[in-house]
Amino acid sequence: MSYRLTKVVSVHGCSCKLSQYQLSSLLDKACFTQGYNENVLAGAWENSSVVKIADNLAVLNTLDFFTPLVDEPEIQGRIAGSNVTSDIYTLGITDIASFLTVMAYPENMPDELAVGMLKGLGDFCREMNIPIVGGHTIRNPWPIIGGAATGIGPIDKIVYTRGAQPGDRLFLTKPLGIAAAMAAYRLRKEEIEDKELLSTIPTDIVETAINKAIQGMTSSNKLAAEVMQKIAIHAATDITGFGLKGHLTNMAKLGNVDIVINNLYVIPGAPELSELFGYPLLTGEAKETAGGILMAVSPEHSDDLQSEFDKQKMSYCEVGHVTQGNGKVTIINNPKITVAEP
Amino acid sequence: MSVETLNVKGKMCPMPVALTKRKLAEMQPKQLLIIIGEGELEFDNIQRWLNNNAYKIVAASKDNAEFKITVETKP
Repeated sequence: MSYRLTKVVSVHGCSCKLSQYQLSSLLDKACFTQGYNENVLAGAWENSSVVKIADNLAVLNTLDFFTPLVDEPEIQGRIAGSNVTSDIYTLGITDIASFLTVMAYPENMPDELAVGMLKGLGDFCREMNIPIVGGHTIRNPWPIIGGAATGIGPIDKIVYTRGAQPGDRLFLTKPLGIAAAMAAYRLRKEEIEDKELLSTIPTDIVETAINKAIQGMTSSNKLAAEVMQKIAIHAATDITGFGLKGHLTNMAKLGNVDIVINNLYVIPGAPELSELFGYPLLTGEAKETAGGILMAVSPEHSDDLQSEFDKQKMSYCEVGHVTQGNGKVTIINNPKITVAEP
Repeated sequence: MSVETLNVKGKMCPMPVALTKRKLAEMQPKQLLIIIGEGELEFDNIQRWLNNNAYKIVAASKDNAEFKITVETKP
């Protein structure tokens, strides 16, 4: 097919998100972060909102959409489904009661691509047993896909981004490096002359990076949420458009602690590709899309958490720890690099 | 010292870095390259790549969406 989803946008996936600084400034100016009533248990800066509707029962809402990262529409739809639902699963809630789609595309984009994106999104939601109950579709110069999800769960099982405590150990469930791998994906499809720029990295490494990135983005974080229901997790956040450091800064500030990262868990080939493209992977600032969940857990529960990850055959890696402090995140110089299994 | 210009406006990431890399490889030592482009990500990525690869950035400025980076080729 000649129409390429990734070719008609200039930023891809979560890279189209505003920076935390820009978003914070907008919300403050619009007074969006003021005046919550006592039933709002979490609002802006949480991965999804949490509103109490009865004793020990809350409704969680999230909305997420972005530009395409891949040219294959069904894969793009799956990535969108994974990314939206992750915002609920990250709070440790496994029941998503409904899903509304958000889609936009230009007039010259073939309808079959729009159908493909919806099909991928629908298949993902069906596999997670989530009903799609409606949505909204508009014309727009850039294709966009995503949606709004509504979760329901017991208040005492919800894990927030706040709550990390000094001494906690940090575990991440998906490797980093999506942006670099997907940049290689796009470059690989360019004219031969441009593709030559990838020649310093063996083809099999590039292929492995791309496949691992797509596998990660299309994998649901639901299993991680199920684990979080069983183990006492102090705090959690998914790692997406603000990058590892951005999301951890949020966790550190909300918990009034410092965070030290001494081990970067990465997609095979991502460090080499990041260096080639000038991406800030090794400083934890590279943007991720549909990334894993980072959990802060006490040392006493760390073994149980790892046993549960192993039981579920999940990928994971210990990446750092929490110390006393006031919101600072440090990625140590020359951190250990742990490369995920291909 | 001769000066060359590379326009990467409208190029999608990672092409601005890739084209900068190729252009610098073609140039003679101790020349100046002015890279003109757009987008915050590209502005940061190009400078990071230049720093990682020990290039000397002579000047870098941004005016709304458009940026200009002046870099010296290696001796």
